[in-house]
Amino acid sequence: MIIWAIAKTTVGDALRKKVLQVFMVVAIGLIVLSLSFSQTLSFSSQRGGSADLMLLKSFGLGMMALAGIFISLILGVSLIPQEFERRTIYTILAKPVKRYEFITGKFVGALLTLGITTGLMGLTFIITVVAKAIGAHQLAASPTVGQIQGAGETSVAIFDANMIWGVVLVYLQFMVLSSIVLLFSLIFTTTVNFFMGAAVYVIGFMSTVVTSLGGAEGANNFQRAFFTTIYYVLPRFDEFNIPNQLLHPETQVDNMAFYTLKMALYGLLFVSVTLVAAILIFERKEV
Amino acid sequence: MQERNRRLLIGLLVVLVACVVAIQFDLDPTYRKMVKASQPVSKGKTGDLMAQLPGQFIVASFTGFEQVVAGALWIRADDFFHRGDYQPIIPIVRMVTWLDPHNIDVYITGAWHLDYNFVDEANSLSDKRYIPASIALLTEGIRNNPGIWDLCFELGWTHYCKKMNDNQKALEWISEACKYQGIDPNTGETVPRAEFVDRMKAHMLEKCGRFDEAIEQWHKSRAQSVKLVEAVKRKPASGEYVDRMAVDLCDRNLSLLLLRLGWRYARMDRYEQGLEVAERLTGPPEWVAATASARKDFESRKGKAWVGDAMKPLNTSFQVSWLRAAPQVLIIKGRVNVIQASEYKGLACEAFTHWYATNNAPNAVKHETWRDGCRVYWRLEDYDYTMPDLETFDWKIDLDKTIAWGDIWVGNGRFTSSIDMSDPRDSEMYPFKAGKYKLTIWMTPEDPGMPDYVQDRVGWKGEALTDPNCLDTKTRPGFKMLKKEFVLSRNDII
Amino acid sequence: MNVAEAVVVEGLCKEFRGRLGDRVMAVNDVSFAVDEGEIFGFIGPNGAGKTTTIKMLLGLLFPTAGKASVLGLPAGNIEAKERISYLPESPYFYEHMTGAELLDFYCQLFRMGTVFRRKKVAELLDKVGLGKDGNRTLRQYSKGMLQRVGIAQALINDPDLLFFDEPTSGLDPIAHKDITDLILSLRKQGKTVFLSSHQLSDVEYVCDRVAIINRGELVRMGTLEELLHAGRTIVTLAGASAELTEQVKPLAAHVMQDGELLKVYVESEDDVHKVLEAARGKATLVSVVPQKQTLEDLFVEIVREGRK
Repeated sequence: MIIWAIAKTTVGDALRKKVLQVFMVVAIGLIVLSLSFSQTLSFSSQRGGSADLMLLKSFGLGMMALAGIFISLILGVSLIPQEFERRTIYTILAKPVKRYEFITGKFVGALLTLGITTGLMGLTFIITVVAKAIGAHQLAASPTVGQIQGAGETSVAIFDANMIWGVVLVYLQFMVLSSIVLLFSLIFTTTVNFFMGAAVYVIGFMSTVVTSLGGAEGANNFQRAFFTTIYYVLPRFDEFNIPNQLLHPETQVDNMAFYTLKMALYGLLFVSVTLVAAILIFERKEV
Repeated sequence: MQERNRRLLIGLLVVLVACVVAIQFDLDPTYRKMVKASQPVSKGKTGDLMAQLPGQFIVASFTGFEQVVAGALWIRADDFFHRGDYQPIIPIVRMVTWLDPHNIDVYITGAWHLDYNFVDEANSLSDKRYIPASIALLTEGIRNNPGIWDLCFELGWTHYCKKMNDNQKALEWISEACKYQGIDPNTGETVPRAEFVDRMKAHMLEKCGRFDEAIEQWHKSRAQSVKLVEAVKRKPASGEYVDRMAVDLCDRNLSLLLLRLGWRYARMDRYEQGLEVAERLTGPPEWVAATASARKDFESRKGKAWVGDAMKPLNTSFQVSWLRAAPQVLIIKGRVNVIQASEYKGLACEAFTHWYATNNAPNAVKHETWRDGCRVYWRLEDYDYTMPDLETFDWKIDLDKTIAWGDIWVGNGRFTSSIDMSDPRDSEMYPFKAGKYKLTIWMTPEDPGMPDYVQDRVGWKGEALTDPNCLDTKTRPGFKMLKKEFVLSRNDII
Repeated sequence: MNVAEAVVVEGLCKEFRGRLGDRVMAVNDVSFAVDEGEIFGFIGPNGAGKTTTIKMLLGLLFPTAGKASVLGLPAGNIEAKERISYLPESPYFYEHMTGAELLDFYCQLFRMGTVFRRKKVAELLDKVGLGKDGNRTLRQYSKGMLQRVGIAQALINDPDLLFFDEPTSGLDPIAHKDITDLILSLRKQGKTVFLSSHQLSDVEYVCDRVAIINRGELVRMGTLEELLHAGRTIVTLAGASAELTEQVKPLAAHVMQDGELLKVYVESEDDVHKVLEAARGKATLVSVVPQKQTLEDLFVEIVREGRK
């Protein structure tokens, strides 16, 4: 009950941050504006529907991912420190609230906030894609235009379940990022934390580069050990970011629902690691 | 927090980290399969790929906007295509496939551009130096997208078969395509692959002289088509039209293959099998009549020795010459005894085709002396030219090399063609930098230039072909062809 | 330990380390006890260690040395927190919440049920005079209203021990009086109040005992009667000569020339008589006024001594 109470309050407080609202509104606005992509390609309309639908999908996912980076970082760096700055933490911890309850409540609140923002962006995105698909479907079915463009061979799917997995994967990615930044906020200052979080994201996104650095010819044992450790310790953000596979269902190497489930498990485990570490640190932290 | 609880938490942390690492081990192989395209196979030109892309595309890939950039670039490519400006399309193809390696269309369209759209002004001949690039592009697409039949089929049919007339390679790739089911590009659901893929494999097997396999393939293809028809029949509410055309197509092609085996090589077993298949078809009326006629012919041949249509030697008297009409304008001309109308008299196939009878009928519209339609092929190239085998897609061609090929129609036993490579706008395509060139002119039953009705006389493998000077049995082992090579100097051309 | 003691502090120390390794002893060997049912004043100048001590008692900071217990349980104990409350200096709450929502939130921290919470929130808002303003967001509250809601959150669990840090800071006189009356009423209910304040008049008015802390050390502690001595007597003379001035200086704590008047601050009654005797015939006696020491006087004196 206490964890939930703190989480709810955290959500209410976080969603009112102007910066967060701006990023979300801009992302939603751009996703809706992308409906204006109306080019159709003469030589690509036969396979998988119109290419501008694919462009719309990729833009929407990319926009959500970009907004998600900033939302996660901003949320994570300020959520706990501002409790200290505003001294709201005193009246809470003076109550019979265990420290782990407070930290867990903040984590849950942050994840819920991310879920709401991602959900809103995701809903807008899916509605936009469906609207575009309906338009493309009608175009393909039209007796004159459809024939001219040869779009009758395969018709466009109105609803593509892969987009849901795309939204979920974006959420999972930033769930992990914000949990790391929340953990760092107990150790580093806000500014340092922001850049540390961004660095973790970039390195985690380039995990294949890290592997190749570790396996490069001429790398000594220390370098190999170092890069291998980084590879396994830092989260693999690139594994959450698979728009290529989502946009081309015919080339998927794994069932997307199953893959998303595995990534969800991976994400939740990672969040658990950061949460336990945060509890351990916060237990000894002076307020 | 009590020390005991603290220790428990630390233990839990260790366990969780171990679980995370374990899941990473499980996810790694799946992810590597997904993104192996981002690590292109290349030797010696590794840096080129990154260097070819401006920095903003690399940045875009970090922000998750790769596909957006790829999509925008592909739309730009469409603009260039509509303007007829094909040159910029190819670097765009490289960028798009790098950013979005699972866009099947781009590989297919890009390869088509390379092979077909860079043509000269005078002859509409395409620049053959791009062929290795188109093959490398499609091969890369196949490597990045295993299990997609479309790419394999494109490579086999559009490029190896139609552009390069290499039936062996075409068969290899079309066979590969036959291993994979289709996948709906919208939903990822498995759907049957297009029926024509299996039929094309059968055609290719026939072209390569693997007749037994071709017959088996026709049976398989027919069974698949029947299955699809039955599946539609079981859904009467679907409103789908039950189209038996594919099944009839298989029967028709199979029957013709069997009949031809019978006619050309005096194989009575195949003749009979062919008739059985042909008799399954109930239309059109001409077919039914022809089948009935062939049946009579078959019955009349039973128990008698006879020579197959393609086993009777034909002296082709192949003669060819070239001359330089003007600087960089060559005329190739010659004669070949393929194929006089009289050759069709008394052929076994005549019972089915009735061509000779019709041609000689008193009321015939036209009495043809020659049955035209063959083609002679020519190829002009630097003497030491070898078509490169690219491991990675690279559209940069060697501008110092000259290679061109085409075909010449044969009519009344003669052929002539002027090849104009002198247009200043084509100077890049025909640089003529080398000192020595090879001009090869040939005719082979394997190429599309020898129609079925000609093969009825000379056989699939040119069994009937003879020639005192130009018969070649080495270029294509197991096949006979007519071939003449000339060595030209640069002065001969310029 | 005496069960009747609500707070016991023994040899409490708190050392802070700076980034460059420098050490600051914020609380140094502080020991005191607060009896149940009393209002205990805890005063000192800025940076003396008051808030640090309170935070250690609440478990927000961890002592470097020493022991502290609250209601018989170690400081920071969760069970103890069920029965204590804390009103920090200039409290800040979640601005987006209404007064009612804020109190409801804090009620949830005590694991109260929904129905009970609703009743409790209404009761508390009325008690602190915010019955009509409960549905307004805290962003719209004045300083006084925020202080009231802060007190309301401190009363949620009907605590046995309350820690008030500057509860009247920034309030208007009426609100000020309300708070002091409230504190007195809490004592009547048998509650213990630990009051830290710069409003020495309030401390003098409400507290039973006072502890004065300066530079991390407990300097004085006791009842007001014990702490504040009778004070000095001011003997005012007119027309005193320089010779007389020199004569009376050894008898006085302090001598001041105020225009034509000489003011002699004498500590003991005997010394008053000696000054009067010395001035007889040499100056005109203007007045003899006994001066009582206030807490502020004591405070200033202690701080000045500390600075020396």
